[in-house]
Amino acid sequence: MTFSEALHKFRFHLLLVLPVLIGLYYSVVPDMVVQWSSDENYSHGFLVPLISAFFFYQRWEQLRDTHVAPSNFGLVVIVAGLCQLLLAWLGTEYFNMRLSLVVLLCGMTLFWFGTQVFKIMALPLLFLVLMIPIPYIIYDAAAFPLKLFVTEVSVSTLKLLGVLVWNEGNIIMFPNTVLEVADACSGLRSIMSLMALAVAFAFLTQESHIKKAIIIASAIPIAVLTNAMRVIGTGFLAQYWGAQVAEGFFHDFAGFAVFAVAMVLLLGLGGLLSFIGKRE
Amino acid sequence: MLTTKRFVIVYILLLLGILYMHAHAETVIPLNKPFAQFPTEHQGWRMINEYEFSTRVLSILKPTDIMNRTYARDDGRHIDLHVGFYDGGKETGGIHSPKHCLPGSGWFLRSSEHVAMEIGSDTVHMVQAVYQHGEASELFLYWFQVRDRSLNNEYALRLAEITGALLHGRRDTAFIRISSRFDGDSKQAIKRSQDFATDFYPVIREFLPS
Repeated sequence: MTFSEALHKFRFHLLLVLPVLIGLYYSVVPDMVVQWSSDENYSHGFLVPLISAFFFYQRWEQLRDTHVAPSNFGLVVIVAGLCQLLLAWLGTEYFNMRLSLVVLLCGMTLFWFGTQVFKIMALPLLFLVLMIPIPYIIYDAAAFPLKLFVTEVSVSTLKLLGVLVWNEGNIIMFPNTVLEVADACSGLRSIMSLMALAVAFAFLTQESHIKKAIIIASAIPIAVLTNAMRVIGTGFLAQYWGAQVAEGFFHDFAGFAVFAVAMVLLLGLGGLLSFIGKRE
Repeated sequence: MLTTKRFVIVYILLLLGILYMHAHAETVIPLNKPFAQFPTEHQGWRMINEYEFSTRVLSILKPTDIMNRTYARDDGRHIDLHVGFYDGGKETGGIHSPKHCLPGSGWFLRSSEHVAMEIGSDTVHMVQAVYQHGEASELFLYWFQVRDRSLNNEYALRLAEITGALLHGRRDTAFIRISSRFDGDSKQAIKRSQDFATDFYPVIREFLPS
């Protein structure tokens, strides 16, 4: 039996799993969607399932003729996912509660359709992990030093350029304005979104594993660079056009512009890597 | 072979999961007494100030009850006390460790160590840290209280929340921070903060569910 025949034959069985999954996750997934809309570090969450769907669509030609050979190992994965959900649920640990959904989907794919199908489905399934906000305990530990680093670098650069500025932690002070006070407790802006898009971009455009890894890893320096540019740009505005212009720029326009610049850098890197590949 | 049996097995497993989640509905543990009743005078300490967090900060922390007070003894120097209680319900947030939030708001970490204080019959595990903000130095003693356990590590806190829920059906946690500004030598500030902790620990425990 091929994958498309199995989907057709068991369509009602597959449909029935939906209400059961909703019963299991109705108090978990909606919360995550709320976080996508309220936490700017995770606004890309809305895009992730769509990109996953696109990855699936891309693989459909290959998938539909793949032979279905159920694997009992899938049952182990399903049980593990359920345990993960229940333990995390007991401890109100959102990351594992949400991650268990991806584990369950992987387990079901293996248990029903087997290893061959899972191998092809692995990217669309595992890409979903990026829609899950990572625990703040880990996010803070990683993104915070980066954020302080961005502040230090930007402030040193501004000083070199003759702008009057000093900083305390990630609070940056100009003679006429103070920046970054409000989000003292949040990390490096847009780094998670950039990471998710870098992964999507890497898998869409690059063949070799090394190039994929280079693109994904580049998300961090690009986030650092663009965030530093944002601070430096704001510093200049604050110096020459006053606090109001700087704050407007910093809070409204810059967030978007920085992300656009980051995307251009990412695209540029992708182009460069493809070019290197061709020359060989 | 893919058969109906494989689907039925999965349905049954998932339904068992749903049943388990419903059987272990969340338990919310209230404070023994609201912080509003926290004594303003105790063992020679007198409250000289009380302030509230902004709505913005509260909307991030989402505590069940929270208290920010400044106490002073006759010898002058002040102690700041912050206690946040989270009852473990869905609407409440969680503890934000000063380890991340203080450096973010301009505090520079000078030193940090794990210490244990004997208070009465209890051993209280705390973090003793010195942060600097501009010219000012401040000594912090803080810990996380989970039932009758005091923890001074963020990961241990997480683990205690999970085991608490698993074994006791409880997820309530509290964060206690005692801080004191000082110039020059930190010895006086340490002594003062430890005195305060010794005097107030039993009172704090009276308010928190144990």
